[in-house]
Amino acid sequence: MSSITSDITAAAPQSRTGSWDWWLLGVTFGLCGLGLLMILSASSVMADQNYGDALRFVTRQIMGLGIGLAAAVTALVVPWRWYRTRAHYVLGASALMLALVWTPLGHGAKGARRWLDLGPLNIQPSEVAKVAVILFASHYLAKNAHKLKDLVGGVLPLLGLCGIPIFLTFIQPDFGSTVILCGLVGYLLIVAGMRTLWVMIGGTVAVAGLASLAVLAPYRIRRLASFTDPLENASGDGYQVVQGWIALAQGGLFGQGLGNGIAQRGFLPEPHTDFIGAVIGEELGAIGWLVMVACYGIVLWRGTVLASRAGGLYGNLLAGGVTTLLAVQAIINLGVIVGWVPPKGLVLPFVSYGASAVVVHVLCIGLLLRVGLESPARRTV
Amino acid sequence: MISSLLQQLALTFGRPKNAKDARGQAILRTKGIALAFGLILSGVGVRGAALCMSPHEKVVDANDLQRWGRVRLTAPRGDILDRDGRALATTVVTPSIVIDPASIDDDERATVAADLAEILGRDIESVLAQLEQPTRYARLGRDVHPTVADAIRRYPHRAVWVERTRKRFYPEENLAAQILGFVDADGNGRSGLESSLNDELAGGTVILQRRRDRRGRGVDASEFDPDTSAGHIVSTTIDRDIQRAAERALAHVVERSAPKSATAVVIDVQTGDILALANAPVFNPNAVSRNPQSRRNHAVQDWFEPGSVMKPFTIAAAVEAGAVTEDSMVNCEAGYWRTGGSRIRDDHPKGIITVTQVMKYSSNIGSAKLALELGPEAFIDSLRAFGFGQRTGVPLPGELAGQIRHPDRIRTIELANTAFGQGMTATAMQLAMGIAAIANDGVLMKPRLITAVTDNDGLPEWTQEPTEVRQAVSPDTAAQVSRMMQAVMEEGGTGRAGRIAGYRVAAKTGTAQKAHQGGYGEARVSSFVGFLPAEAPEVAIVVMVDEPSKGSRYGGTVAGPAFSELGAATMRALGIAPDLELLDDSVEEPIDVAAVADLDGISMEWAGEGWRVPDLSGYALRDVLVGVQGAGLSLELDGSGHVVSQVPAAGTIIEPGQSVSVVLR
Repeated sequence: MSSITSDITAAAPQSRTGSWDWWLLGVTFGLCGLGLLMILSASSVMADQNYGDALRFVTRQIMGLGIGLAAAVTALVVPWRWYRTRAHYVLGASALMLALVWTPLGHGAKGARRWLDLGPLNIQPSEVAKVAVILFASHYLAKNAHKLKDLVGGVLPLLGLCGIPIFLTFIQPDFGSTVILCGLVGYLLIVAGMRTLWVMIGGTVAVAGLASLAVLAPYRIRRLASFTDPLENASGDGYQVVQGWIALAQGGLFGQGLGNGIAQRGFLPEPHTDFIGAVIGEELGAIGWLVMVACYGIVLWRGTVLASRAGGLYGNLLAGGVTTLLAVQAIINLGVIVGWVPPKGLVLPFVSYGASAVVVHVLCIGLLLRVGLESPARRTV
Repeated sequence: MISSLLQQLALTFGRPKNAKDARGQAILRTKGIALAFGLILSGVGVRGAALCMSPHEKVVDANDLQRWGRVRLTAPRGDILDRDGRALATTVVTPSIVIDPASIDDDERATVAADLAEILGRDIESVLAQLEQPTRYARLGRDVHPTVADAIRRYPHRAVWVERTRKRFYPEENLAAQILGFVDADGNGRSGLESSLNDELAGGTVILQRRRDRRGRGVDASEFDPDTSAGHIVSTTIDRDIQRAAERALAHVVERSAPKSATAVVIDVQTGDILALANAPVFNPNAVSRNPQSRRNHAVQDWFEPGSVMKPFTIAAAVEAGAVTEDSMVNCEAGYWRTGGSRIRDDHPKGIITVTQVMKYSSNIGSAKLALELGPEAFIDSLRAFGFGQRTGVPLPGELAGQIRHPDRIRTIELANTAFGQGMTATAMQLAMGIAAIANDGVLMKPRLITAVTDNDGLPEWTQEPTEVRQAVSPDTAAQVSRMMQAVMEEGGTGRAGRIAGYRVAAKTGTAQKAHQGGYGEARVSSFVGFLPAEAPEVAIVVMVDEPSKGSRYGGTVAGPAFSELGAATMRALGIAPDLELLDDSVEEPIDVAAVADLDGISMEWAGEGWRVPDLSGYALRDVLVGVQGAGLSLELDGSGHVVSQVPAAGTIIEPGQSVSVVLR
């Protein structure tokens, strides 16, 4: 019996016996609600000044949440078998979208081509690519787990196929998403059973590769230098980070109160997207910050539990992959704010403004919940 | 326990032996990586909380520097009003155009500059130069027209915006400029009432530490309400119309006589109210000139040797002491008399004449004899009783006291000279108050310029009632001096040029030599002091002209017409009806009405039963208001600009209280 048939057929009869995760659902709603409030606070004055519509960003985020909810519900009602068998189409579609940003449909800002402009809809293909890579790699690895010893016949095809969207993301350039995508593939390989020695070798190569890329692009070097001591460079490359720290410092224990922060009044660039965590710190204080971090902790915890309880490797990889995506996005975004990670341009899942990201992240929760539904019943219950 | 941990580690990192091991390895690896992420996430949480709770010193400093501003908020300055509540000085809010050049991208700068240049009506180069400045705040235009401000508000670029700034504004331009003074760029009064009442007028100021946005604008609603701490409103005794008439009269003096300066004071004799205090030259406090001379208030800041206008006080002293009456005889020595080793001359030599005639013909010898007869003690004391040698206490900056000699140290010739206003100094304000005392039954009043200081809700902070200083002379003495001063206006008197049609005037002229390098030179101070109506005095008027350089220099001729013009206008402004009998006289002997008629303003002619309506066509609204309304007629206005038609027609005679309607275009 080949593992793929066993995996798929084994899952089907158990689908009614799985569990529903209220924790995950509650935390997701909480974070999305917090996001709407903070986007309102962080963007309304600027939106009113620049667009004459204080609610511009909130409205768009709500639309994104709506689409994300629809996508998540779809993921919940469709057995995973359906999209598992079509994972290569999803990967292909994401690669196509990434390629399209170089056509007239593409839309760039600040020297990077990151968006597809489809009239009323602005899609960020790199966000789609993240979930596409998880879906495809999970399926491929679950199917070919026994071939992982075979570097040429097993691992290289995966790297080659996933390498297409990763490369397209890299040349946008979107360094942060590139790192995330590479990390996701690495994570899935490790969980799927890659040998420890190879993991170590691969890790070393990856680090060396990233380092050399950083050296090749001068602006990354500069960012790195300012990253080591932003206070010494507070008016230059360290500006964003220092402004984030100032915002946090204003927060204290309880914060200035919702809507009372002023980081968003011209001091903090991107207060409603990349640096929304700093606005949360200023307005809701250390307590708000810790509650928010705890929410991501709960996502990580519940996602990991669901991954471990999954009946087979595919469910494990899918759940672990999306959990890792959410956790790593949160860690990198918040890590930038606290000064542990150089500025990357990665959004905070569920909270930052950005329709594509929020659609993908809510979809991830839908996938997680679906994995829970398709897991075998817990022995203890 | 430990062995199971070791087994798990072996399973995680080792090679699975079977499918069950592989599944277990996947779960262990999933959990292991999640644990690592969880630890990092916890670290991020702790680090973030630490940044909130105990920030780096530099972060705190940067916050204070960038996000907090010391903002000085000042409430608007209070108004200065005339006696009828019309604003003489007020505060207006005007729009300024401000730009943040740093938030304009390089590629759009030229377009923005061109657009703004067109809106502001400036040339592109100068606007572009401002847009290229390395600053975040530049003022493109100050005090711009409201339509410009509107256009800027609609201009779709966030780098440019409109701010509202306050400005001190004097709606009557140079009217009463030396009384009002002006404020400097920091909003502090620099002269006049603006200076002396600066503390009352200034709006409350608070310096707030407040959060600001990156453009420096405050972000939090301020608890400081500027309106509640607005500056106090100062109500003055100035009558705008009389003040305007006084300034016009002085302007005519300047035209005729080209003096160094001239000043006129109009006092309400019963209250001591300063109805007008005018100076020439004038300045416009809306655009303060660099020349401090034009800002000088000559009526209080200059002293003169007053000359013959002192004679009423000398004679009053003698009458009060009982030494003489108005009918007593004095030998005026045919115009030449030696005393104390010096000569005294009269311009109109007389023999033995009455004290009244001493006044009428302005005899120096007669006056000197009266003073010498009184003796230094009684004479100087009486002058002091009229307020000479002391400040009047008018609330204007820089008032001088003038000087009179001490009775113990005065020599005979100095006493004789003081009797006709030489060897002593006085201000126009002192003379005005002294003359007003004679008109006011001998009671010297303190000059009143401020009647009330009111807070923003209209509640009085303090009020000033008329204040008596002292009874300078008895009412009987005052009445005798008043009669003698009326004689000055009669046929043969020196004051003929100061007569006012329809009113009986008591007055005295003065033509004082100005001390020059130890002696007396050619320069004169020509003056005319008096009050009217003489039988029931309402106002005292002083006109002093410093160094007339054109035509006659005699006080009667130089200052008389101004006195007449100003007196007539004052009577009209106060609504004091003329004595019809006197008007009939003036028809026989038309005087000085001509002096009024050929002036810029509208001259109202009394035609027995009413006013003869003049031809108003071409006159400006302001002239019509002063002339027609000042005569006690009511006025119906249509339009603005200059008069194009009027009802009733020119030459019609109408009674006071009737109305004239004019159409202006």
